[in-house]
Amino acid sequence: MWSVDSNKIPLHPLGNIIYSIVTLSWGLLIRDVRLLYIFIFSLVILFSFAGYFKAVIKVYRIVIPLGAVVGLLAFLLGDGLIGSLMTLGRISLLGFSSVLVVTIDATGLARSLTQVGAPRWLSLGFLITVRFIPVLKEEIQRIREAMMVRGVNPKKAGLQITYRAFVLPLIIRLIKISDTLAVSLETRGFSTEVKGTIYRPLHWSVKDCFVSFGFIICIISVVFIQWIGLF
Amino acid sequence: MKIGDIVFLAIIAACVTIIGFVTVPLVLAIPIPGIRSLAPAFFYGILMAIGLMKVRKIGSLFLIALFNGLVLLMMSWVMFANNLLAGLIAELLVLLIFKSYDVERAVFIGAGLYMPLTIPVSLLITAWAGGAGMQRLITDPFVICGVLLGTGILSFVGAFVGIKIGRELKKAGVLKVQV
Repeated sequence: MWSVDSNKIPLHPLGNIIYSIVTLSWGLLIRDVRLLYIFIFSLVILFSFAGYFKAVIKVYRIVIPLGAVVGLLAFLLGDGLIGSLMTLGRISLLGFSSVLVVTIDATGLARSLTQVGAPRWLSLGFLITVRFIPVLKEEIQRIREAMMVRGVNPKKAGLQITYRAFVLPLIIRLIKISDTLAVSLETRGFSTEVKGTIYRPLHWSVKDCFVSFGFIICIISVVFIQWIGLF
Repeated sequence: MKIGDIVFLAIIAACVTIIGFVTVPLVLAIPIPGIRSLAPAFFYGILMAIGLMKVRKIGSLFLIALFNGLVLLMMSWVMFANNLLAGLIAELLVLLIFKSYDVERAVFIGAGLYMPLTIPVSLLITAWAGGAGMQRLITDPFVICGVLLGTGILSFVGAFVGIKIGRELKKAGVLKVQV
């Protein structure tokens, strides 16, 4: 996952999830295209100051072309210029809500889940899932190399050979790793029945308070502008 | 659930996540609603079936969906909600019809139903983001039926293949069923 700008402390993981959910849910209610763009722009400014500028740029490098394609499609389907701009805006908002969660540190999220009293199996299962992804990539590479050593080209192998030489060994390896990991966790006293503890708890910082305040101001402003019918 | 069950289900969830990372970007630019569920459906079916063949406990399917969803939550909470809802509904349906995963038919239905159930939420999001034109496209019965049917077929074929693999591994003594 992507990180926040260097020398900046990331926001609280649970706060980021809440901002992300509220951003998109609030976006659902905005009907005016100008208001939608003002809302997105003000959020981008707020979170750029909080150290998310690089992540915003990275996400928008993907989201803007994608939104433009879908917006063009909406235009061709007869939505008009306003409709296609609205589509682009909504996809941009979807992208922005992703920025907030894409920057969350997996370990931080697992720690904060334990801290708020989430069950042990949840944080443990989540951590194993995240940490296992690179391990799985290595295993796939190892099996492909073993195939090549035996003179089989993984790219040109037929269905039968792929099944026998790649799929089955990979699944067997996964089962073995899972058994070893389970025994290893049990011998270290991990259990799904006991409550987990955290060595370094995460706290709601001053920066979190400022961002929350700015975020609430943005939300209230949108409601106010829509209510008085400025646009 | 024991720690061994959680570990295995989490590993299966990691595999499911990787399959999603590989297949979904290939179809990301295709403006057909629900195509992102269709592309990985076959592989999801296989993995879900293998997971359920080993951990035959109520809640297994939901846990795979939850762990996969938690990783996807780090990209968008919409994907998390989508996976969680699909996993929950599939699990409830299996619970209502079979009461447990003791029979292979329950594994087949559970693993096969998961992916088609992710389509309705995807369509709702596409309708919201895509505007009136996209809403017309989504309400076209040919589009909905085509995507649902394609995803369903691929997912159930995958579940069937997964059960076959599971049986073979069980016969070889590698896959020990945890009940």
